[in-house]
Amino acid sequence: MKIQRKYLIIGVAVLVVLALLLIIFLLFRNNLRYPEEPINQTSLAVNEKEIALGNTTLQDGLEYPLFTVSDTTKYSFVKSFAEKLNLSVASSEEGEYYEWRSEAGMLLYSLDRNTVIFELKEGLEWSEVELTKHSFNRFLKTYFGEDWNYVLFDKEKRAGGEIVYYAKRTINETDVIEMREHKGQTDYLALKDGKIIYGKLMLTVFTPSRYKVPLVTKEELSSYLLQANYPKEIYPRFEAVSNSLLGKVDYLSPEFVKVAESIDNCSTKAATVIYYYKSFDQKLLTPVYKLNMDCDVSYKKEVYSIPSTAYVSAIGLDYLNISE
Amino acid sequence: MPKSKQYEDAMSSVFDFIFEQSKKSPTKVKPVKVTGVDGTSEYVDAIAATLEAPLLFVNNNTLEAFKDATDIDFAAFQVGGRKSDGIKLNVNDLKDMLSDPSGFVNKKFSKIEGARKMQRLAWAGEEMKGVLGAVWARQHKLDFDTQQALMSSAKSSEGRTDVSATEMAKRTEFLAEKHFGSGGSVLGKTDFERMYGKGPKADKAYKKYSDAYAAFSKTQDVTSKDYKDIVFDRDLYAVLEGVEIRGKAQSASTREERMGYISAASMIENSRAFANMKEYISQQKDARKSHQQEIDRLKKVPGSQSLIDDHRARIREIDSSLGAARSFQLGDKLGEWEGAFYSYKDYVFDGNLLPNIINGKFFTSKYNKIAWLQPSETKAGLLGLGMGDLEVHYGKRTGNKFKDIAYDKMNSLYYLSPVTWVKTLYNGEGFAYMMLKSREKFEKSLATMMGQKLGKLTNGDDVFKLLAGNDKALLNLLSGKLTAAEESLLLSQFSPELQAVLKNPQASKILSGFLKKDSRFRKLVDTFSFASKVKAKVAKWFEDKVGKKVRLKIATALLKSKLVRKYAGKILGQWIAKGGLQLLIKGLVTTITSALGIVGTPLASAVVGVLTWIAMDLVYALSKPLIKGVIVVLKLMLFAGLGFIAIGGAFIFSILGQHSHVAPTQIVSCSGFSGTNPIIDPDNPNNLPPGGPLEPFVAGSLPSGVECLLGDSAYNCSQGVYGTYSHKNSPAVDLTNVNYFHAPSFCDVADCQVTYFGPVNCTAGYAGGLLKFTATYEGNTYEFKLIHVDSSFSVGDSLSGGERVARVMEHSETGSACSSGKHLHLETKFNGAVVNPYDMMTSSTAEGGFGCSVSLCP
Repeated sequence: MKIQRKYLIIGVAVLVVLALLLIIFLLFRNNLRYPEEPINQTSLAVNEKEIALGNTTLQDGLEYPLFTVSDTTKYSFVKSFAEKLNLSVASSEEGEYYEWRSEAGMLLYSLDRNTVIFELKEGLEWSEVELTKHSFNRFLKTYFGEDWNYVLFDKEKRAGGEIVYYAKRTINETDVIEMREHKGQTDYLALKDGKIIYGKLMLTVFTPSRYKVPLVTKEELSSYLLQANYPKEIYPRFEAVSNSLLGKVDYLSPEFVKVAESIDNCSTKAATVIYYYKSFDQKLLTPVYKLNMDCDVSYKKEVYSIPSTAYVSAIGLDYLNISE
Repeated sequence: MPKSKQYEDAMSSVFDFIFEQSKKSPTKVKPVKVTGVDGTSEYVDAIAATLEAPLLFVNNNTLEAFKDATDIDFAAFQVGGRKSDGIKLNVNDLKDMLSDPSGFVNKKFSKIEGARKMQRLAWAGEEMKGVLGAVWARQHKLDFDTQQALMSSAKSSEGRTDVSATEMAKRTEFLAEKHFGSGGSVLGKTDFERMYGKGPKADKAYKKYSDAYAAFSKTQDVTSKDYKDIVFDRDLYAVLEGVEIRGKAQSASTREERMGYISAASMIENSRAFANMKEYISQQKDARKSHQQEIDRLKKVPGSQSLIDDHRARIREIDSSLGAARSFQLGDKLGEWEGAFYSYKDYVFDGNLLPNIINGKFFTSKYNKIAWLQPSETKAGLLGLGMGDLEVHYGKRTGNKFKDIAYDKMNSLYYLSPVTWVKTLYNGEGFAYMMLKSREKFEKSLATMMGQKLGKLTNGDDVFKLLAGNDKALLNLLSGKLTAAEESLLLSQFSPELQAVLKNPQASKILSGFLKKDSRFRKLVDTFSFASKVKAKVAKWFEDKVGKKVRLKIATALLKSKLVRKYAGKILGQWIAKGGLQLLIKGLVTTITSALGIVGTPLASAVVGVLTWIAMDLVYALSKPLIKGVIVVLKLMLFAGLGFIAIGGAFIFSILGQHSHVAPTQIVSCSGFSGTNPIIDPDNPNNLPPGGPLEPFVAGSLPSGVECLLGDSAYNCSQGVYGTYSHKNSPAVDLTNVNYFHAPSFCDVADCQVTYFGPVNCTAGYAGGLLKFTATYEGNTYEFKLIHVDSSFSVGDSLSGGERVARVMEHSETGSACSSGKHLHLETKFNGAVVNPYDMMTSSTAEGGFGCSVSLCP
């Protein structure tokens, strides 16, 4: 009896220790930590233009997780999709792009950004009269096997009668991914007479990494934005000046680029945090401030105000590896 | 207004109505109810039906049928191998062909090249089989002739080239001469029984042998068809070669050698067909069983170890040849299963069964490869009507009454489909079917009445041909309108049995009814197949005018080679007349083998096979650009001679592939303008082109290995510098058929950098991205500006050699706001001076350009 009790005590003690270890493990396993080394940020280029933040409020002080850009392609799903649409292989370069074409339409899977673009003469039957964010989820689930979530942020009726719906994929439930596209969308689908007739979809898989980063503070960012080598990109939004400036300078003319390059005196009106995806080999998906700005451009000695968008790194220099 | 004009206007209105309604969704279509149709005119009936149910006829399936009607090939190039290997220039391809000749030909060639790769693999597989057979023979110390025989007999009957068939024919001729020629010794039946053992195999082989001997004895002319039939007979080759090798087995010095020759003979005799392979496998299994039984018996007999070892060795040989035979069998089976699988997938699953029944593909064995589900056979060359290639689908005959009824019912679905009846409007197929059905019914009822089949009544003559040819006379006979002499003359054409029919009052009543109906159907077939006959004439006209000219051009290019001229000139001449690249390739291969001095040697077979493929590649490389060039010539011919301009300005606009950057709301002229014309710009009083004058492109040579920045295809220039559309003020070219733009390969050792990327808009909307980059090599700077592109690069990014810098956006990506089609807008500078991008892209690398293949700019 004494011996039995001894073993019982030992057994209970072991169980308690195991339970404690389990609890500790469960408590801490999902905890992200800050990167030990500065990260290489490859999605944003550098731009010597200065940007003023003004009175804009930033979400500084928050921490955002980093995501790994998976290098797995969706080739088998794309191929299956193309075959379903009765498209034939037209050309390809292994690992670079795959193109299907036939009288039924076309499909291009481009691996520089891991996007698939398709145009269908007859369209794909779709049971909805209007598309919603759930439509994108359903489309990607049906044809590409992924359960991704989206926000629908714009739609546009085109001359052919179709309505193009623009969406951005969300990540981490609430955060939005944006691409350097027409309206910043990651995906769009065009619906006409109950059929999807064309679209462009981003098929990259993002997986959570072990790391998080604190967003750079407004004070720090104000000074970083004055540096030529801080990651930032500025894009003038010419659609806003189609009736004024674009009436004077044709986009095909050599002057157009000079006008675009003359962009200056950018002042920020609003800022949001997004995840910026630019290319399939960028390795990491990092938080970026998207700045809504007013800038100036010059044409024939006259200055025009033009709304512009800037993408600037939201990661401070403490965690960022940038070239001098 | 003239009646014909009234008719034309009425028909135009009908067609306008039909096509307008076809654009609407089914619930919004407004059909027109036509009254006063009394059913006496098929044309009126057809129009009424179309007006009342426009979408029934004008839908995708029927439009496909119309497309088939205009499916005229006006030039075709047959490549050696299979009929499916060819490039055809077709009327339906006209738009693509003329708007983008390079892209069109490239696509056609890429399909052929895909198929050729498969054939090349299949050929290589065949060659490997032969090589393995030869290696096996060497391992068993069999002689060279036997090795050679194994190598060549491994080639399948499907994929054989003319070269291997000729090689085998030569061998057959040699062996036949040895057996059947003067001084030869003819074998008897007992010889075959000794070789094969008594049974059906020996009987079959002896029959083939003795029939060949009889035919050989009769035929003295080696160029005659009969002689060729003998020497090209593969089964005869298998028998003769088998006999030859079995003869060697009998004089072999060791048991092992003897077994080797017997195995070799067995493989050659059974390599011919799948059916023989089954028999071969079965025989080998029996042989194995008997060897095993012998081993079991010998185990009980002391001192039999060496005999047991012999039997075991024989079993090992049988197992090895069984393995090979099974893989041949599996390969064939897999092919069959694959065809059936895809048929199931395409025609039964995926919801395609009904559409494929409606569009007729279900009834065509070309598409429906499920043998038991395929209900149709086709009858071509309709009985005595001279309809050329008119085919009628007929229920398959299996000999099983119930199956035949089922197939008839399924087949009748084809003739219930509106698509078939639309096709009937241009090829008369539906009426031909009804005519056949009527003939069947007539035959049956007459046979029932007369107690025997109609065929017997005519002693095998084609009764319907006879009847059709004499229908008017027969009707007159039956209604008593002929004189006695006329009657006698008419009846003399028919057999006594048919004459008896004509004299039988009941039978002649049936015959009279049938003749009238048959005559009406024949007229309908004749009328409605008019379009398909015209199609054949048009195809011939094109072949004469275009096809021959194209072949002449290609042959001229090839004849620049002295070797080709010396050896292959005659064959080229034949090819120009008859077409077919197969002949042409033969010429080239003959040239090379003659030059190498290996014609007629055992080595020639495999070498010629390889050379044939190389020759094909050579001919492709030569013919591709020539065919493209000819399409440009064809374009000019068509526009000059055939009045395609009459189709309409918009059509010309689209097929010439010129893209306008003028957007719908853009102002291009203003009647209220009152300034000077041309407008004098105070900043540019001399009216120099924007960006400066165009300088000639003069550059130093680029290093070897520099490739075209657009890719390795051929491209089309749809608008040139300072062109007539949107490039009036732009030193740019518009290029189509481009997917990607690459950095020059010298960027690995040079400074190449992106200098700008951003979105562009015209006044009507988004126009894609604009990217600029520079590439500096040995002090010379190339600048490129690309518009309507997407890129993952940004300002300041460095580029590697050959890297894809930008992707040309698809039309839907740019929203169609600023242009009418997918194209790359390209501007270039060299050392700061504006140069013509066409010159920079197409100049050779020795001239500092990138050697691209781009059509001339309009």
